[in-house]
Amino acid sequence: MIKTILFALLLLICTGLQAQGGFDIDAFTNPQKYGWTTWEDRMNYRFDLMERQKLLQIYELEAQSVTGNVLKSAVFPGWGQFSTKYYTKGQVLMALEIGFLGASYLFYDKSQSFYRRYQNATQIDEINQYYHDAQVPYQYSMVFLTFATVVWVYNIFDVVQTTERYNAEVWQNTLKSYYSSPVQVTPEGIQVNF
Amino acid sequence: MLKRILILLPLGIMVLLFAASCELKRTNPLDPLGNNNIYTPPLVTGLTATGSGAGVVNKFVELKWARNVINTDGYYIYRALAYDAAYSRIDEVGNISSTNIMTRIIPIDSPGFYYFKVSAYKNYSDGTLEGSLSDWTIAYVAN
Repeated sequence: MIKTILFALLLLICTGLQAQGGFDIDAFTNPQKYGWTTWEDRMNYRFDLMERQKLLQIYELEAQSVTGNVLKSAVFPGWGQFSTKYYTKGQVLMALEIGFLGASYLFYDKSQSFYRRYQNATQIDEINQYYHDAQVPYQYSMVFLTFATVVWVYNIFDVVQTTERYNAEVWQNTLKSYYSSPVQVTPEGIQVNF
Repeated sequence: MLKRILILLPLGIMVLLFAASCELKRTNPLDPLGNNNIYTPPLVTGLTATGSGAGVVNKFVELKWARNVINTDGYYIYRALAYDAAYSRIDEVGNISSTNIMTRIIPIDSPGFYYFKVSAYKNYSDGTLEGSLSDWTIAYVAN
């Protein structure tokens, strides 16, 4: 059995190697494939790439992680929006979440107060009345908890978009500040804008 | 924005319906709606009260009501000084009678109007379940 498996594995590897074919060194080293016709083109491209890498480093310093912000908002709704400087949105989401959770807790607490009486009641009218008195705030509590859940889910959904928008703005600002800076180093030399 | 509303609206409605359908568990061991082997004692009917007449030294009220045939081990007797006042339990009597009429004499200290209610109860292993209180009845105890 093991021999059969090893043989099949060997056959598979050999087939894979055969399928790769020969390596085309000419195609790999051909500078024309990037559209470079002259040595200057190649240098310009390289310079542009280096500039973009430099900008990317600046961008990565200021850009925010979507995962990180999702985690922040999952722990405390609105926190991720605060991090991306969408303060109003963060405040609204945070206030809604606190309000709904608070209302849910208050109704739940009231419900449990009646529920304890229900559990200790021995008279049929009291049993029915206390159960009803506990049931109504319990349902309100569940409804508010539902609202809190909807706000929480929306908050997670929103923080992904907010972070992406923030990062896009960071990239635009990075480009804008770089190209509008008074002194720029270009392939033609140093450019000073007045 | 419309896309968000289209996603969140059905989700919200579904979760709201779920929340509204949530019910507390009926965990009271004496709750008939939570336990199939618990039966509510029937409502006491035919309650009448007659106060002792004038000049009687040991004043009393005589209560009579129809004896429950099923799910009753005894009765609780309640008294108040007004029909809508708080009734307090003053006596207890077993469901024992040679006829279908229950009779109980309640000693009274001072003359006046007295209001009574009676409820049936049934003993279970987890406690005693008391049924609904009957309609009130009035008795006048003369001086």
